[in-house]
Amino acid sequence: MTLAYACKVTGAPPKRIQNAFHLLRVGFEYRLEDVRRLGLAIWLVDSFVMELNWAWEFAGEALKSPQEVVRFGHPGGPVLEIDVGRYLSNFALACAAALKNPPRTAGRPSRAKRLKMPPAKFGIDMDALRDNAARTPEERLRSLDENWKFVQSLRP
Amino acid sequence: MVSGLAESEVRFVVIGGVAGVAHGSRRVTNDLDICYDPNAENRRRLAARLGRWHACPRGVELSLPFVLDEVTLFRAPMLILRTDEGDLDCFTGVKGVGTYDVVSALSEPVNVGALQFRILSLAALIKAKRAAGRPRDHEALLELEALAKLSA
Repeated sequence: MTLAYACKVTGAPPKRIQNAFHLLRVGFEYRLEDVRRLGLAIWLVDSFVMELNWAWEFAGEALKSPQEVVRFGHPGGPVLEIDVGRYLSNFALACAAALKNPPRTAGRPSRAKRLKMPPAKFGIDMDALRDNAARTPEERLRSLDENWKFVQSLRP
Repeated sequence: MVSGLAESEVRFVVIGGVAGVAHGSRRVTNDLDICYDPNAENRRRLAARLGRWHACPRGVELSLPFVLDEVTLFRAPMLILRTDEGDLDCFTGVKGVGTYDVVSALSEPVNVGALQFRILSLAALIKAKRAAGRPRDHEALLELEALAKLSA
């Protein structure tokens, strides 16, 4: 994982992640397990105004029991409850979303010069598009469905 | 997949590539993108349907537990999923268009056999592609704009 991905999946700005890893003496390799643990630690810091070192330790302990709601505290005293299963579910969804929409890479954003070209010059077959436009939406969706079923049948 | 969602009475609008195909695009797409109503009852229906399809995050290792219920849907505005029926992306809004209510207002009905569902209008789809501004959308945008000119 890169710093940009780590920001996307934890929702924290880059400086916060870099500072946290520096403070916790974790290497800047942005390994998945470190980012996952830091994401939970950041949530603990923000929700319970906890010190980062403590939150990191709690997060590490909690993630040892990924299926459970983990409780920290003494009998009769305040109890900290972490629904680890739910946190991991949200983290997995954030990772999937980051893979689908990757963070912007460094450098100048691409200029969409090609958009100024006529579609035919860009390689779009206008005759085929005209023929397709003459079909009904139902016919177009049915042929898409057939293609989809074919692709699904090829999947392992 | 659309019939399964309709069967579960999920309120949704088809957006993305499939909506483009319905409008005449020739691009092949292998996932379904929907914008769903994020109210509690609809989230519960969608979560139940996704559970039946064994939905899980796409492209992510599955060794860890994954809870998919209405609370998970509430916390994640974007679901990128792999299901038994195929790849499905669910959103609660569309960039450049707005939230579900706006998307729904800018949608139009489509009938496929006995099945009726809603797709995002061509004009709104063009707005969404422009707002996304991703290089991979350039060609799709050109095609949609050409279709808009053809249908004008």
